[in-house]
Amino acid sequence: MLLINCPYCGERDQSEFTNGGEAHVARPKDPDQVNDREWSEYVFVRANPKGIYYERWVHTHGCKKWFNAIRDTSTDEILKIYKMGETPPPIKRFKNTLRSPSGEPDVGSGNFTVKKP
Amino acid sequence: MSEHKIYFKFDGKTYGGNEGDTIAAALLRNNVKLVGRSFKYHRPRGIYTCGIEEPNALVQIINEHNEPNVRATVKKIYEGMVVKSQNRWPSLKRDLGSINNILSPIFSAGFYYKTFMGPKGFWKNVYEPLIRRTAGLGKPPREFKSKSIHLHHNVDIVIVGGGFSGLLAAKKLAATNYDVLLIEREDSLGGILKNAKKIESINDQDPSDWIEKTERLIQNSSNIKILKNTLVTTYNFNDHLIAVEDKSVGKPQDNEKPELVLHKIRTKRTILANGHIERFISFRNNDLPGVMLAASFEKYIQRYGVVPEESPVIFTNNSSTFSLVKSLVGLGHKPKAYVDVRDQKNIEKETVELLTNYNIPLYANSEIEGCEGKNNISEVSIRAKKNKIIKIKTSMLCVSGGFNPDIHLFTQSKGLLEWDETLLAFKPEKTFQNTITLGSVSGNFSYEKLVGEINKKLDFLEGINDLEIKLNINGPKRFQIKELWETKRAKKSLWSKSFIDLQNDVTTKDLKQAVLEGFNRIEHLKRFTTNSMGTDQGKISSINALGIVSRILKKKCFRSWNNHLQTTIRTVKFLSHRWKKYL
Ligand SMILES: [Zn+2]
Repeated sequence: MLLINCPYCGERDQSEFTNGGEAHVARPKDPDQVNDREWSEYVFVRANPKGIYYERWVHTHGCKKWFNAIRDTSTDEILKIYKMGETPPPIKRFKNTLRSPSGEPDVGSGNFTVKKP
Repeated sequence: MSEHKIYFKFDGKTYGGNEGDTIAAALLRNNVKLVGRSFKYHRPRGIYTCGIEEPNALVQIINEHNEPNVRATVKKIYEGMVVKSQNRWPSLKRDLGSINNILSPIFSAGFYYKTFMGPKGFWKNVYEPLIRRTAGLGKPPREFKSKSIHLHHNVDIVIVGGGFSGLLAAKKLAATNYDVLLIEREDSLGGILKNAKKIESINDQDPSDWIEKTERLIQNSSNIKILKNTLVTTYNFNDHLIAVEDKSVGKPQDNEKPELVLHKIRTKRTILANGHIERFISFRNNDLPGVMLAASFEKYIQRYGVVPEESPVIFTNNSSTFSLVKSLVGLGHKPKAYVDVRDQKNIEKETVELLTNYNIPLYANSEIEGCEGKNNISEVSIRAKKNKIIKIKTSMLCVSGGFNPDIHLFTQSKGLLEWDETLLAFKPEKTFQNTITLGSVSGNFSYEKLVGEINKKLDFLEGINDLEIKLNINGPKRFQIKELWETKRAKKSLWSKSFIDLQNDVTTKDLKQAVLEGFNRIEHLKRFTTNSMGTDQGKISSINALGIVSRILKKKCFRSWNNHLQTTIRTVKFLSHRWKKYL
């Protein structure tokens, strides 16, 4: 279970929080003007990388406030937490080492027959 | 030592045991060796181990809501407890399902999956009802009631395991500013010091005196809290541990009081000192009641004061069985034979000397070919030098196939493992969290080097003196082992089987068949044969299966398997259904 540092309350157990998916997905300015494909991309398509991921969390069983977090999905390490409305730190500030905890290769899911593209 | 006897029922008959006995210890005290029938072939099964790794001795506790699959080697007895054996009909000694054993060619590896393949309608009308009736372990519980509470902890250091290394680490941390939690699975501290005669004295004192003194020191130190009867089941991210404390050990259930406490612990550092688990060796009929792991046999003698058999045969491929001989001769008993896979010149001189002094026949460069018996072993066959088969009558056989560091929690913490060629075992290589491993779990099988290891690995602590200790060690000081996973069988029959997973009735032949059918990846092989998929999760068998398969595939060593094993050893499988719902 992760330990998450709520910018308003401090470090709390993950069980107090709810993950809100990818952060900084901009809603189209004028939904009536976008086609179905663009709209569905906004609604459904997420980056889901193995590595550094910008995501939203809400302190559901606490202050109930939303905030952003940058997490390395291969290690579950939270690299940075910042409030809503703050400028997100650029990705190149973080070393994306992809050091997966179980020693898997960068691509694939531990299945060694998967080759790099 | 006249202790107050505790009476309980097993399959309708009343037996007496001592306070603190597990069901298994009490049954062995009464010379009961047959305790269950196996999952698939309904073969007679006995008590194989003396702890949490038990594959065979699973029983049903009738007066606790019919609780099934309770390990007889863990559950402690109390007055009026009602215990039943499982998976047999009409009785344990005469079981009709054992016909499966002779029909075994039908039930070979992948049998279950092959039933899906047709003919149409067969699954629903024939296979499913048949499998549902004969397979499975105990019967479901009734009117289940249990109370439990949750506790949260925030500490600086957690020590998992109150054995020798855990006690030493706690001693070093006593009276410091670190907030420490020491967690022990058994009802008393001491671990190996209480289970075996490995160490004669510590600082010129009897090990039990040293344990008592150390425990008092720890208890008087306000920064350390000890939790006993508590099993750490989970090691999550950010050093978050989950442990379950059993409040009703050796007591009947009280539905008014909490029976279990779930501890949720957040710590800054985790010290794993949770020891090792012994392995077996596969041979013909290695599942018969009367076959037991050597260290478990010694644990029954040392911890429970029960001698399961006064003159067993000992079968080993390593140096650890010295202490078992020492324990037996210390009580005036004598093993019938000592069978060592290693050449005479590689067997430690202490062992040879001890065997010679007590006139115990040593068969070096030999192995157990198999054993005979109906509901218990009656005879073992030794393949001595030059392929000569020697038969010896005995009712018990103690087996030691080496040791696996208990790396479950370490792999859950996402640490990386490496294969150690000298120990023939996986040991921690690189930590992922703030984890420290001490003692046998770290692959250190030498008591002499233990204090040095602790001083070195805990040197981050400020202002604490190095530990010093004077040890008098019994027998060989260095652990040595020769690779052997399965012995060659001389005799073939449908009844005779060489098992790899005792709980799921997987034979070494099933492994070979799975490889033949193309399932040579370890995860596929596991799924296809159901090896290590029982409630014991292959604690004593999974590394053996890797050993046998890598031999079949002629892989030189385990290095190639290394990465395949790294599937995290799953937590939930350790948990009985009782507290699964809280996680
Ligand atoms: Zn908050």
